[in-house]
Amino acid sequence: MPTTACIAGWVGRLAGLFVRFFGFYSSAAGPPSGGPHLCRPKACIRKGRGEGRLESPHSKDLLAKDRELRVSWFGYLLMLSGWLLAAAALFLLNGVGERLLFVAAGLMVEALGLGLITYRYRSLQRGPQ
Amino acid sequence: MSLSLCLMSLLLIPFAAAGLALLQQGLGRSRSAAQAMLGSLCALATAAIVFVLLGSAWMGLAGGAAHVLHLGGRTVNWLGAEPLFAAGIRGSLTAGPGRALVLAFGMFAVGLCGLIPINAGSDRWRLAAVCAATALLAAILFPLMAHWVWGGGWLAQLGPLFGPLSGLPGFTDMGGAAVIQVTGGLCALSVAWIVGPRQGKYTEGSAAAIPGHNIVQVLFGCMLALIGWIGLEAAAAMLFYSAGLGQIALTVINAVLAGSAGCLAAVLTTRLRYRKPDASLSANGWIAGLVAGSAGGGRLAPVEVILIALVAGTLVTFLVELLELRLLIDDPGGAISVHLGAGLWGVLAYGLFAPATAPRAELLLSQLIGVATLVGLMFPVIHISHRLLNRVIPFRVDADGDWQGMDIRELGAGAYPEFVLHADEFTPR
Repeated sequence: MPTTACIAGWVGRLAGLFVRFFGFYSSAAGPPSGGPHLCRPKACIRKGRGEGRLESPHSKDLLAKDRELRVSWFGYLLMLSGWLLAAAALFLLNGVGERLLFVAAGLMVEALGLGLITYRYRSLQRGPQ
Repeated sequence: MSLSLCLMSLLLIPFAAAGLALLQQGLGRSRSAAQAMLGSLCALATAAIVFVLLGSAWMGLAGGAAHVLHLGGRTVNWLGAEPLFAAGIRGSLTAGPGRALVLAFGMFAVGLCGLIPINAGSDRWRLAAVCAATALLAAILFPLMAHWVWGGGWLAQLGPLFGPLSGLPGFTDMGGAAVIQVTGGLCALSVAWIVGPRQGKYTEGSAAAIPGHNIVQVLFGCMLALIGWIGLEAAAAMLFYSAGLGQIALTVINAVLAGSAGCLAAVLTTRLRYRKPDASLSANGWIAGLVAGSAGGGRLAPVEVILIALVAGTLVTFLVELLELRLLIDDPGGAISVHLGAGLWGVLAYGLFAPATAPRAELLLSQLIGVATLVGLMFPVIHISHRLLNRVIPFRVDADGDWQGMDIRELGAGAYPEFVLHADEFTPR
């Protein structure tokens, strides 16, 4: 039973992280209709168009910086995951075709991670829109 | 292995460093020329000392002592375990010069690798940070990759580790395209991202062209680099792949062909795109050809090397533009395009064109695993360690120093004191 509770706890934590990340990430450009969206600091929660906008320009900058950092770390994780996928193909698979497929998939995941870090850098260079 | 030929090849490698140093200071601004040259010299010095004291122990030797991991019933050799501070090097000479030769090669190679990011951080990367980043590279980053590929590490042992039945070949890098060029290119990308663009480079959404201040030095640097590259490829082939005299002769031929084809491809591409050949991009094409060709060295046929270098030379002209205009990466010397872009292409091209000692798919697979390791493992490690280092020793000079020039800011005197410079305004593209 303690093991089940432990696993359930970890699953909950992972799900929380997932929701937090994507909830936050979706706020990068803001919803097109200005509808409800989430971002991590409480001060930034908007409930509808023109309602409850608590953030100051300063907090906006901090939020943007925080978001960029998260994107960046997520990019690193994706790159490492891509490499692990490629390495796991060597350990777990035997056929050349299967290995090639997995290594190619790993490279694509790495490219996605690199793309995220590039996106972060570009948006930092362009400054607040 | 001919000892005298190996020694002679080793002695040629510093020409590559001189060539790269000339190239990068020529492509930078005149107000930072002395700092760029001193930075190159300091990087070479730091790399040599740190590598001999620390890095060489972790690079190790093929068949030498190593740290291993036991994973899934397999023994993965992941780090060299030779004595620190090059202890016992004098004693080892009685058994043969092998260890000393590898040490000398590593010392030159890591210096060359350390010069590449200086090119990308030109005009704004502080001297202290250059030394610190080079020390990090020489102590940990370069030896790690060098051990995996040249020191009997897991990438070199892919066959025995993972494919004894199907005969999966080990990852091959005959002349340092992956270990030196791509690793250096990844460092360059990381540095360019950390230091950001030069002031005045991107204004009002458009990129300003900041031309290099001495294109003659750049082109002369290319010629010097060719001599060094011949030595580098020949020495690596002899030390790590037991190349014979015939293969060394082919290595020399291929190096010259690679540089030539890369340069001509860039000349032709820029002539077609901009109506006139661009000298700095053509110089980059020359180096890109050398970089791409160095993955296969003397194992490829001359026609294949020409084809690889033609692609590399063309690719570089597009990559430079992509990085500068689309990705907003200010890389004054084109180091990322040349060393990272052409290096990765060269490593992959070896899998496509290498003599079929194994099924083609397996050759390609082993090269792809090398690429995945470089991009997916080495780059995060490099970039995170650079970002941490940046917190201790800030990489970028302050805003005043950016306009003032690195020479006055860091050295107190300009490289060309008799000239008065008025180049604050640049023509936007």
